[in-house]
This record gives sequence, C-alpha cells and structure tokens, in this order.
Amino acid sequence: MTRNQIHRQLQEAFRRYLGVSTRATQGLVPQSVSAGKLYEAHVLSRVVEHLVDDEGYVLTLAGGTKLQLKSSPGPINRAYPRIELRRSGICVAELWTDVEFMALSYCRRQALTVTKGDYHELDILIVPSGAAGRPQCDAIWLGVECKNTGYEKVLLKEILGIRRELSFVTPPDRQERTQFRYWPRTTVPATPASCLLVYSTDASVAEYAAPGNMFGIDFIHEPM
Amino acid sequence: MPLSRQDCVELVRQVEGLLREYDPGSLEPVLESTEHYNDPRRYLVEMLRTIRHLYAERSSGMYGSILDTVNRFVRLEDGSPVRGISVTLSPAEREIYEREEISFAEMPDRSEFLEALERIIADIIHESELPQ
Repeated sequence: MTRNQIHRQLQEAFRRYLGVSTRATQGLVPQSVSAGKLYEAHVLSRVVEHLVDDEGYVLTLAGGTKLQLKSSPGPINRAYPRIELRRSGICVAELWTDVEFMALSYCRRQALTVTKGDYHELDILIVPSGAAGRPQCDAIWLGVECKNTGYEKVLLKEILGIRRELSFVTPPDRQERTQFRYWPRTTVPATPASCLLVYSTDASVAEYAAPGNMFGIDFIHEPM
Repeated sequence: MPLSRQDCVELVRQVEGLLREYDPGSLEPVLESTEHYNDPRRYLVEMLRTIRHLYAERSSGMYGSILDTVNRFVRLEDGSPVRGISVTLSPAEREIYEREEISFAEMPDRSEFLEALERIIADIIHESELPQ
C-alpha cells in the first residue's frame, strides 16, 4: 500500500464519519464530559460486578432512576442518586461518584475552617450508609481513581498523595483488616484501612505497582 | 515498497490537515497527547492511536454495553433496570449549555470511525515494517 492510498483511506474516514456530525455536535458536549467520563462509567461497571460476584452484596440505585456522574467533584449531596450496598436487606454502605473527602491532615489538625488543601476528590467512593458532605478519611471503605490516559509518573505522585491523605502506613509486620471479605483486599498496610484502586487504560500502569504494594494502592490495567 | 520515513512525515502533515479541516478543536489535544518519537513512522502510528483514543472517549459506542453490565448487577428500588448514565454539569457549564446534565446516549456513535482508524493503523504498521 502506498502513501497516497493511505492518505485516501484517511480522507475517506474523516469525510465519511466526521464530516458533518462533528461540527454539528462538537459544541453540544463539554470537554469535561468527553474527557474520561465514559471510562469512569466503564470502571464503575467493573466495580459493581466485583461487589456482587465477589462480595455478595445486593446493589440498589437509590435517589433516582439514572446513574449520575459529575463533571466537577463536590461533597456528597443526598439529593443525587447513589448505589446502596445491601446485606440481608439492610443498606450497610453507599457508592458515590466524583466525591470529595476530608484529608487526614485536616482531621489531625482538628481545624475549624476548611481550606482548599483540606479535601481531595476520588472518582468512586464507598462509605458507610447515610454519609453526607465530605466524608472523613476514616469513613472510607474504598476509593477508586480512573485514568483513561497514558499512565505517567505525575499520576503516581498524585495517587501517593491521595494515599498519604487517606491513611498512615502501618509498621512492616502489620496489616489492617478492610471492610471487604475478598475483593479488592482483605487487609491493607494502612490505617484507617481504606482500599485504594487505580484503573488505567495504559498497560504500563503495572510498572508503578511497587510503591503501591508498600502503601496499599492497587494498580489495575483495564482497557475500554 | 514499504512506507519510507519521508512518506510518514508527509502523512503526519496530512493527518494534521484533516484534523484542522474536520475537527479543529481536536488538533491541539492530539498534538499535546501524542508521545514524541524521532522515528516519523512510529510518531504517525502514535498520533493516529491518540486520535482513536480521543474519539473513543467521545463516542457512545461503548455506552450500551456499559449500561447492560450495570443492569446485570444494579437495580432500582422497585426492581426495574437503571434507565441510563448521565453526567451532571457544573454550574458554569449549565449556564453555557443551558441544561443540567448530558446523557451518554446523546453522544454520537463513532464506532465505525474507530474501526476505520484501527484498520489504517494496522496497514501503516504493516507497510512501514514497524514491530507491533
């Protein structure tokens, strides 16, 4: 195949599939929606699968009929839908998306005023039922970050910072029990014992697993 | 005859021209996100992969299967299926777009474009004798 043939194929693909519709629809979808939100929904579908198949929860969407991700994070707003994790008919925890939590440093300072550095966002969060506002770090069962980009060192630094603001590392010979029976982990080298997962479309995410093992961060390659 | 380095330099320029013509807003994110290689054949492939990735994010093609998976494991309180997945806009976006949320179902399905790009990338890899 020659350069000209490849050029013609490219021209045909762009003309045929992007010709009218891109220009017509481009302005209708904000960048914040197209940038990674579909991947977040994809990861959410994987998480609920594990919660049912591995953990035995019955999952119910409460507070609405549609799952709602958010283009910008914020505190838990109970007017929005969330997924309830039920055992024996009782809701024991809730899954929220795009929620901020209060950092460990803020909780330790016992500060009265909240500054911008006192809270952080996670794409998916599981907390005990009834949580509102920004949950404290000791209320978090599971946090998930979703990265539909090339996984680079700056992202490792970011997630190490999140782990720092969720928990202390435990002594080398000690692990804390999580809220989970099998998935994602039964123990973590962190206290409070939250689980922290990073899902990425980039296979090279596995190359960052070593510090994650030390601090209790699981890196998962999940193509879309 | 395999694609030469010069062929690939020309093709990179042509792809940039196509983006400029059909979706100018995407050119900058594509150039910023494409990893730079000294070998123009590899750079061309990476650029097309970046374009594919970008449009995969803007395509509703995956949405149906994601919603199906969610509905295998999550139900509404009355036992009926989850009706959809949407993104709630920020207050600033609500003003600009004059709406509160956008459903993934409203996004255009780019599956055929993505498949076409996949085939072209495979052709280029084959013709330029790059390793997979």
